[in-house]
Amino acid sequence: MTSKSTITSLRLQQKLFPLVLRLEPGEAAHRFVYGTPGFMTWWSQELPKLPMDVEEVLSPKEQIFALLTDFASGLRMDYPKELEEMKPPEGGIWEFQTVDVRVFGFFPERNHFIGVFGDSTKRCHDYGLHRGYMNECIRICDRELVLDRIFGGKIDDVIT
Amino acid sequence: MTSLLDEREQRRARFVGRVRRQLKIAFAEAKKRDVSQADVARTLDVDPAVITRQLNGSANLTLATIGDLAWALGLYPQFELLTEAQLLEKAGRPTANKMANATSVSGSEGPAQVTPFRLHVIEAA
Repeated sequence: MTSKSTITSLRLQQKLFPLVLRLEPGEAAHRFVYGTPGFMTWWSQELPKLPMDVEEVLSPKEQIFALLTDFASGLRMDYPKELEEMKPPEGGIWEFQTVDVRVFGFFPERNHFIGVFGDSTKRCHDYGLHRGYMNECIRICDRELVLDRIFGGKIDDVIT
Repeated sequence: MTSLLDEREQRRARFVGRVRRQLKIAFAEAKKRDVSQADVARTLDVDPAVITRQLNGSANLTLATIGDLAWALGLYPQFELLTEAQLLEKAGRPTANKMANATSVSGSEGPAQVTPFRLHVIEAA
């Protein structure tokens, strides 16, 4: 039987990295975001190059930064099109959503999100990538990181 | 690891996100009073899809639009610019000038005498 990893042990092994989300004065970190090495590469190299919706005032990297920082600062996340569990909910995979960006990952424990993949909203829709990303997140969680994840289907199950 | 966004980009992103979030909260509260997004669209004589796009970011939100939406929701928008000290004060934290080691406070950079913008939407009486 394989023993389960923890966020701490994976950070020591450099299989997970904390995402830098700088809060504003007066805010406190209530939640945490980490990324796999693949996610961190996407975050620093691909995200800045993503195409932008013509009417959006924020660039894709600004959109997802704002959403993830709101998340980290402890704001409510129960409005549509922000953080949603992917279907079917039995997978325990969640998706952060902005106009131009999608981030896929899971919660090994409450208030701790592991980002595994990111992509443009348009590519996800045009090529129907959601199912593939979900399956890959499950595989990476179970086989590569060997982490537990929260199953539930409700936002209150994964954040406080 | 360095941050993906510089200070200016971060502040802009948080402000725009905060305004949209306030509007989403206002619409969620309106829904509890049986006022739907479609009702607001009718009041403003716009397509409901326009409001959806304004809330999710795929349509530009101007200050005038925010004023219109607030009116249609029976709310009053307010706007304020706060210093870092004022933000800390609001959060109930010691401000820089009250701390012995002022340089350790939050590490704000740049020309930021004036820091984040806040927009509140307040319900009409």
